[in-house]
Amino acid sequence: MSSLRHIIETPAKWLDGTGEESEIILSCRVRLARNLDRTPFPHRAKPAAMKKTLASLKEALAECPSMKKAVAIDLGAITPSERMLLLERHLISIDMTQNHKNRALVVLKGEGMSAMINEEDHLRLQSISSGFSAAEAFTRLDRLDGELDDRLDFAFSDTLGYLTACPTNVGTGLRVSAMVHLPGLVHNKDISQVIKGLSNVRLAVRGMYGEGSNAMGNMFQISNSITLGVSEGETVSSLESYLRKVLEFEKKARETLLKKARSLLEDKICRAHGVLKTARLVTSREAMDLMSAVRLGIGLGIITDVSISRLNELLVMIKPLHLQQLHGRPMEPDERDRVRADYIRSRLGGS
Amino acid sequence: MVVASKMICQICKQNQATIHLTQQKNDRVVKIHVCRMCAEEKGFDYLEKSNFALGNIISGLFGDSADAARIKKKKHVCTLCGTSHEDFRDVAKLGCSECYEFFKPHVLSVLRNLHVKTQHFGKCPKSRGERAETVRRATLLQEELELSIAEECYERAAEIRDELRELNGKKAGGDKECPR
Ligand SMILES: [Zn+2]
Ligand SMILES: [Zn+2]
Repeated sequence: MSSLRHIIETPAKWLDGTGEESEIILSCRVRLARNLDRTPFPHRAKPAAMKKTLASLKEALAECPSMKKAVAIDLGAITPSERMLLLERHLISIDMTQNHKNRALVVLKGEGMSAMINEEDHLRLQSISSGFSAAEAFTRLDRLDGELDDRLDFAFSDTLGYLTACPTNVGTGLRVSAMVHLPGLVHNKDISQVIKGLSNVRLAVRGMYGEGSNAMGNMFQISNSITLGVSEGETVSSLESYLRKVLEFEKKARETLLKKARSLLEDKICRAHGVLKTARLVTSREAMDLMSAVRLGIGLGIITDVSISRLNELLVMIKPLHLQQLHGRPMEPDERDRVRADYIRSRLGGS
Repeated sequence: MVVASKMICQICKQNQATIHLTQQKNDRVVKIHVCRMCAEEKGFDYLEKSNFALGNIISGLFGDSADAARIKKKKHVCTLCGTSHEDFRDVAKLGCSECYEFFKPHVLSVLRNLHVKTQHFGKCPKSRGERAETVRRATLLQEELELSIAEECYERAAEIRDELRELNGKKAGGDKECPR
């Protein structure tokens, strides 16, 4: 499985922090759900049918110019730990770590674009890119969808649009989401207002890691919840315009915070940086919160010797299976906290 | 009437009947007890006010029992993937593209709850593009037609009717061109 090794050992392109506003908006992700016409969806399909679907979708993807350099990984052919690694990289779903038979991941090097085969739907196409970039991620994925349309017969109704296993995805099958870092709004407690406001315009907000305002590392995911009756373009541009507003609110919250308590804020940020550079034991929760403070420090120009891409990379690398991969064998939680602290120190130039 | 709460649906003979309808037929009163799913599938919600349609449904209901058995077998399980009403209700997932046609009334009410609108407004597969666009325009015109009639703008209504007639001709023609 050298292709898998290669994926795991190279940081994903979308983590490189090159996108617009990438300190606050880490990444934008676009997903399209597609199914084959008159073919039972994976949860209703018999193994033989799933196998057939898998083969034909792999073949179609291999023919697409957009996926020329992609590798296909049969999830049944790799170990449970390797599947967990793919989950930690947002390449497969939790469900696929358990139900892996006749399922596959097809992924481009750099992980900018990928496809899950036989997940909830026959095809889940995904595109991720750095920063404020939903439109760009969509354009790329739309092209792949067009290439597949030339080769496959998609389940489609003139009135309901693309048909999916779950009615929540019917229509465009499009889910656009942004991963955002909102320490200012969490601190001044406006976050619950923002979440409520966004849900009024049918945008869903959840903690990236953990729930609600208790989200770990002040990371949230904002995504559309309506897929029927709105075009792809409207979906993308509406999410982008609300994202701009959230960005504005977050910046205002930070300004106020700086005006009111600059020294306190600087102290908190620099201490967090210090702890990450020197600690010997760090839990995942603590690391996430400290990294959020350092990230804010970069955004405010208080910390200048750490890059956003380094923090992004840490976000993935300090997860349990990635640490185990570094360490070479399974670990007890205590040992994992030590390995995590060691790794963070080494990447932040600590002692 | 203690039994009423445990009454079984007369169509599927499986679910509990929660909808109880009464109909005057000639000189006798006919009562029908059905579950929500069957009521929606048979269009009771929509047709409740129409005695004529309800009469049809009732005669269908009390037709020969072989017919009823066939309805139960054929009507309640998707012929392509085997998904039943109960499966759909329990896992809230459809089993295949055909299920959408099969469980149409239920699917539509679920979709209305989730998305408000029930007409796709986005990209279409290349092979379906023109036809899907025609269907979409027809839906919009139909809505406008109903509105103009309600507002008594009969001139506009007549125009829309002409346009619809033309569109429907196109739709029928499109069927022949489209290999699917
Ligand atoms: Zn019934
Ligand atoms: Zn079906």
